[in-house]
Amino acid sequence: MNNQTSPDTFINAEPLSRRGLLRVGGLTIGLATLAAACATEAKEVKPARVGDVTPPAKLPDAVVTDGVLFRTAASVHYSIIDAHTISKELGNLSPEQTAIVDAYIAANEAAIRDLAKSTTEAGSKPWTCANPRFDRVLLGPIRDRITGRPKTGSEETDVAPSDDPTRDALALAHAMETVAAEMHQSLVPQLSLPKYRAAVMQHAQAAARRAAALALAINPANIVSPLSLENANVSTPTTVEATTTTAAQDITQSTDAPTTTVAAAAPFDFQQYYALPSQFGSLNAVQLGVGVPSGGAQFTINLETPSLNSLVYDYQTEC
Amino acid sequence: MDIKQAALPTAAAHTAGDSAPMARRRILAAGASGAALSLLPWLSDRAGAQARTAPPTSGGETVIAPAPTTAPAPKRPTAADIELLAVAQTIELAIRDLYDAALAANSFEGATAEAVTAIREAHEAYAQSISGLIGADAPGIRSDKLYNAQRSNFSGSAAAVAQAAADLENVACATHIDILGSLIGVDATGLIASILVVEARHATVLNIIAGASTLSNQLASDGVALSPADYPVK
Repeated sequence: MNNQTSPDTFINAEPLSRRGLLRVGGLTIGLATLAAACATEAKEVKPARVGDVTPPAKLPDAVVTDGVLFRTAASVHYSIIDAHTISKELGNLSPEQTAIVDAYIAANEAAIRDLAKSTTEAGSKPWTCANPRFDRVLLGPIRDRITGRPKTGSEETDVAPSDDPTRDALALAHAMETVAAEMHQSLVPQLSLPKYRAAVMQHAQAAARRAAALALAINPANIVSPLSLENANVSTPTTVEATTTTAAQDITQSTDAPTTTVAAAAPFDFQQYYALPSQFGSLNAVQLGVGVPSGGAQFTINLETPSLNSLVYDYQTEC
Repeated sequence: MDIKQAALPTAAAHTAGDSAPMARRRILAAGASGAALSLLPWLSDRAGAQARTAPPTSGGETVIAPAPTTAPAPKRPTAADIELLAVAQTIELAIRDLYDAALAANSFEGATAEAVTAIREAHEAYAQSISGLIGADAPGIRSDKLYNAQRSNFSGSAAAVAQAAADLENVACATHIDILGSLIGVDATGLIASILVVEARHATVLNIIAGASTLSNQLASDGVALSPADYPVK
């Protein structure tokens, strides 16, 4: 018996080289990929997982239709009524001013009724309460600036109550009617049917009239904004602006006594509202300044027309 | 002779004797490996594409969709829009000329004259903006019919002229709302809407200048729309 291995069966006759390994490896990967690509696709209905995870809630589709736009417009009119109610409650308004705000509330209620008809005609369900985002984001902070409130969160000081609630309440009412006009104007290019565009512009022009009348009720001199006067080439506007007086040192006076310079504090330049603020209807944010001025500035909030995050979609069914 | 010593010459001889077939085999193996590797990206793409064939979820997405029964509106004015906009321009130019007549007659003074001047300029801007929208199709002339019908109302006391102007602004508002109910092009609708809201403000201001003391009179909006058929563009 011989213990020598046959040369034909000796597996180490040719040592495995690096090149050989690469070749074999590449071939294996290639064949595996080919097999995977050609294999039939198995659909895993319930893939394996560890633990019990609640499936994520699927949000409903948010489709912007004519009906959604009408619902949103109605919701903003409800919010405007809420704002007018705040004006009445907190503004210490005179009977004449209260009558104006009451008339505006009635006009907004009429607009809501009309918008409900349009909503139904457009195939949606009428919305019957205020715009939740509008109330939360805008009306809450505005109310706080009129009533005042203790500091919260990272605020350093309490919010002081308004120094002139009547001024702020009328400014709020004016801003709301301006927003209503802008909102309806902004809806025109979004609506699909010409008859709907004409319908919303009826509400836009009515709100614009209310804003103009209130601007003149607040200050009868504020007919045309200075910018519009400038556009009209009116070089010498007769509108009287408040002048500031400064008592300064008289340098011609010779005296040994110590001199002091007294500069009268300039009155705060409160926001002005004009009956004719621009030549064309603006879609800019309406700036509303409310509250007591502090540090040379007044709390100012931007009121914008509704956009995708404040529309009242058809899937929203509860107020 | 030990085992290794006996094996080495044999293996060497075996290798030398099979060198030609082994080279051919190596070339085939390398070729197959290369081909397989070169197919790898393509195959993996295919596999990836198959994995992505599941329908995308639409949950939580905002879809801006027109009403199901209508096609998306064009941006530019249609031929019919241009005819309506041309009529609107002749009306705006007639109103501008009527304000010119009132200002020339010194019906207003002071801040009121400034306001009326600003309103006059606004109407001119409206006519210009319509020209900008419809270009060479813009008539660029006033409606003589409207101008002549209103001319006598635009001279006299400030209150009387302001009342006539307020009424005319209300007519313009009603006309623009009528036009909006027919316009198709989105650009034109946006322009007319932006004109309309300010003309409504003009009416309120002029009502107040005319002496309207009650809120309902200040907000009066009882204008009757002009029919384009009655005020054709020459």
